[in-house]
Amino acid sequence: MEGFISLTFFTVLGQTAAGMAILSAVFEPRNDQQRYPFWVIVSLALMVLGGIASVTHLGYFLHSLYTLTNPFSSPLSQEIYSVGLFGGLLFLSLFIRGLWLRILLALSGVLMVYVMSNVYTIETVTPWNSSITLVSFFTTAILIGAVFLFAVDTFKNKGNEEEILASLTGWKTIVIALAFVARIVLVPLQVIKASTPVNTTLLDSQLTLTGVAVVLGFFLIFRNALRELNQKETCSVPLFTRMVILCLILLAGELCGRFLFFSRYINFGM
Amino acid sequence: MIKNPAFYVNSELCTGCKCCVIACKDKHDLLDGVMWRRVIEYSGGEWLVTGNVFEQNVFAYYISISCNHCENPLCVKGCPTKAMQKDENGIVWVDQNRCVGCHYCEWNCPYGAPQYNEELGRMSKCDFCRDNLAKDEPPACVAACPSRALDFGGYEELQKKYGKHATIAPLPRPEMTTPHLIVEPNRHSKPQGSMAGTRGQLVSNPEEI
Repeated sequence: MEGFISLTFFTVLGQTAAGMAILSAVFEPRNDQQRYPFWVIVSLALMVLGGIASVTHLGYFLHSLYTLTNPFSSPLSQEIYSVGLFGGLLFLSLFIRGLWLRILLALSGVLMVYVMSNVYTIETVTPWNSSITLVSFFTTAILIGAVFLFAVDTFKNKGNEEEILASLTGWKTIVIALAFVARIVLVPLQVIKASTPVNTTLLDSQLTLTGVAVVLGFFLIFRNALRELNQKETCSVPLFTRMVILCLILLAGELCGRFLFFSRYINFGM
Repeated sequence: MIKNPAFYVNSELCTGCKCCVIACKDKHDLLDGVMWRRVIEYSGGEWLVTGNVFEQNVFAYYISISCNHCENPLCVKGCPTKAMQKDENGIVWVDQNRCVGCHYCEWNCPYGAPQYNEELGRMSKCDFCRDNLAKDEPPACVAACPSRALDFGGYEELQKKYGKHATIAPLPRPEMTTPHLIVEPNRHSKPQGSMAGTRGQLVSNPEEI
């Protein structure tokens, strides 16, 4: 089970970085005037942390270069290549600006999340072997990617509450809400597709945790923020602090949900 | 040396004594918790009302299982380092000089054959006692079985000797990997995929395997 903790961090952090790249290419394609874009630095930091987490999952790190030797057959080998490609392009994005690089980075992010889901969509582990894995990984990327872009904006605008509020009512909030709704829609879809009870349980637990996090976070933060927008009252806790708390709650909810996903692993596939 | 070695398990004769498990652990000096051969127990049944009487249809049987050195081993296909290999005789083995201990072979195997060796930080599995085969001796598990429920040989020869039987519960679907395994069903055997076991599809002794 310890190994699954490191994989939880690796997948969630990697998908978050990919989500940030995808969303920023889609919604802010020309917003790259800065030489060292802050969101790229954050994405890169997430990839490095995720990479370190994934290495701790290995029993014998010294042989890790051999993992590059079976890309035509092993999804795990393909995942390592895709992580390398995305990480490399992310690193280049620190120094090179241009729309083509943003698009390439976003595409490599999509590829990485897709290949990651392939690693777990295996016939022998029934609870993982469904399209839910793919959809779940992509919704993580979009949901937490948007949350982190939100956090980056908040950090950049620290002290400027008007800008933070403007960000709160912008596209990122809509994306977060849509990604969450997508998760809710998945439940009846799965039931219609006559999913196994295990899969439904898995999805339910993921939904519950992420849902509680989202509802709690939005209730705590949005309500006061919107009241402030209408200048009805002010909150003693700075908006910046509340934004950070929101991001942390969402990330924690996602990490718990992913850990539940891994804990559904059945050793003897029967 | 035999080609495409396979195991034969007679579930009718197997008493679940686990001598095969101990012999394997002893020969290969396996760590606690690592069992290249395991004995699965499958049981179930309930009380039924027939007229004015209660009757029971309780059943239990055992299957001794290890790596089946499959025709299409998913562990080999999934291994990112190519440490998991099938040798020229058809034995699936782990090259410890390449294994990174990522557990992916374990996830891919429907029989849970590859197991993690914490001391080495790498995966380990049944190698069909290759050293014994080279000396024309049986694998340790087969030699130790007191009820002669286990046998081994080339897959084709074993099929000729014992026939080809349908897979029984709770073994996984053979189409996944085409295992080199012949199981003689027990008289109480349930068909593959049956949910008649006490824990649904699962084995009755998960803590032991």
